[in-house]
Amino acid sequence: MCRRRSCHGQSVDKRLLRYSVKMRKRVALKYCGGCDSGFDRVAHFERIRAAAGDSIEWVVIDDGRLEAVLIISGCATACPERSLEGSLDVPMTSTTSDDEDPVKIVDTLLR
Amino acid sequence: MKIKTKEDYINSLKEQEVVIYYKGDRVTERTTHPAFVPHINSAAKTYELALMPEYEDLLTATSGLTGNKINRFTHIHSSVEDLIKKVQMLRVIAHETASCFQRCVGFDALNALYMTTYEIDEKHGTSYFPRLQDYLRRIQEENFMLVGGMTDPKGDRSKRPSQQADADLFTRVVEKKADGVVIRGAKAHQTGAVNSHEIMIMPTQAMGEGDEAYAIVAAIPLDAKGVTMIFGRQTNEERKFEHGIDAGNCEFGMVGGEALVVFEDVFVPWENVFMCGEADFAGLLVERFATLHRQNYGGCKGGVSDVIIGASALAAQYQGTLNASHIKDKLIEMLHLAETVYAGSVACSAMGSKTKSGAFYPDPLLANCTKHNITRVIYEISRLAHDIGGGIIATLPFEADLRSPEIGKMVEKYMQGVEGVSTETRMKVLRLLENMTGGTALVESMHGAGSPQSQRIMYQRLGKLGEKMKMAQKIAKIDQ
Repeated sequence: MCRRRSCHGQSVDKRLLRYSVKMRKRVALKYCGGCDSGFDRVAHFERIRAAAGDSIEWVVIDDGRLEAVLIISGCATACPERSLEGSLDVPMTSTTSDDEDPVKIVDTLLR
Repeated sequence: MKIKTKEDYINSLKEQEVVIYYKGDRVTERTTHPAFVPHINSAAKTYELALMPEYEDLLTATSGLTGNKINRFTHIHSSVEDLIKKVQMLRVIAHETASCFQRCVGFDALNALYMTTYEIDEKHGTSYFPRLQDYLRRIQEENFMLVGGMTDPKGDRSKRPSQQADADLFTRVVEKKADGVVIRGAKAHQTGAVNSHEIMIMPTQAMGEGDEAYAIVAAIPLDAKGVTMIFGRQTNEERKFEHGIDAGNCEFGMVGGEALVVFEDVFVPWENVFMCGEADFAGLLVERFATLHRQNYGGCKGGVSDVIIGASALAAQYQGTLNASHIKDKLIEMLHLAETVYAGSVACSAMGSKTKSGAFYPDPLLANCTKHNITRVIYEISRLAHDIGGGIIATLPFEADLRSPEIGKMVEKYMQGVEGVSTETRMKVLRLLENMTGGTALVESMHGAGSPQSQRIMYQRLGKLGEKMKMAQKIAKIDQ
């Protein structure tokens, strides 16, 4: 099955391969509260999850062994970015629009 | 009684044997009564959304007392961020219910008491603050629903509580015992009372010398002996009984569902008493509760307005006027008004400050401005919704006419709008507009969290008029 998409696909494929051999990356999903969201945050996540396939194991933010965090915010204010800043020792990837390419987001998460 | 889900909430209500009257009759089961179910559904959203990952950032918080994850409606604000999250949370829940979800009153009572009992203890050497902390641990653990009971019936408004011809028109202590106090009186307009577990009664206004018996704060289970609730009538509320289109929003309430709560010599043990006779703090408590409650209105009413705006746009779309320039302009005006009230709530939160107790408190002047704007803006948003929707909002036939074998085809034919949209769909959105923009919904915007004059009194007190006069003198180079 070809997962490639322009610009971002190839690197994702390689990382998927690496993680499938090694182990799935543990990524915590953190939504903002959605007070005035400009898009469907849950649908956006579902597209990201589909793009990630088996390469990511989605965990909660207080998981003791998380390796990265994905923050999905409904607007540019991105409240969780502020509230989580400095509190976690893992990379955080933030998305504030469903225009952002899910494959590119996965690519960033798997780095 | 640890409540997590909607089902837990409803089951916990069943555990209490409460005395409620609706339209002159005693209600035997509150969780299934058609007048209460819409309000239960609204309040249940405060539990349901807290369990959803996409809302938990707003609906939950970390307790400053236990470190546990709790429902935000039981939280004490520990930062400016908490104050802002409260407003954001109210807006998001309003999007789900298009109605009042009732739990903010108890939430505000807890926060106002947290700040004030600390200072009462500091001055009077009492122990209300640790007692309240114990109560907080319980409510945070059990997550029960608390009504904030402030408004007394007040009788002759020109007289103080102790001057009333009928001493019970302000809720008072009629007896102090070794193990507690006995309460008599009533609280009016109690939002969410019939579907709550406990009520926190508080003084309704500043108290003076001689009013000590009225300076009472106490948490009372609503199934306590001597408590009677009389449910208030709302505009078109019995349409909800039909579960159909005519209700406009049949799943949720129009506003909160208010009741007159009467206390006939109700005993309260001392562990549930958080002020008793400290009349010098009654005014401060009322001011703080009012500020915390007025802070809310740009959040919840902003969220409700978002739904009204959406419904107005849909109504216009269904009748082919959405692209008319004057309709677009009216929708833009509605957006402007909704964001303006939301901005007020965010602003008073952002300018919040830390009290001696450690709890954070919104800027009182900005919070009062926010609520005062609501008393006007919601009427204007509703006026624009009526303008866009058209006279059909007031003259639409019954749903039963649409369903009628005899005349249904006539309704279908002559109530249709643009091609491709059914008459039923158009009727649904017009009824939603009717439900959200008239009668009780408007009056609640006017008087909920205090009538407009109470906010204007705060402007007079907090508006720094003298400083503004000095500014003008300086600019005009006046040396007097």
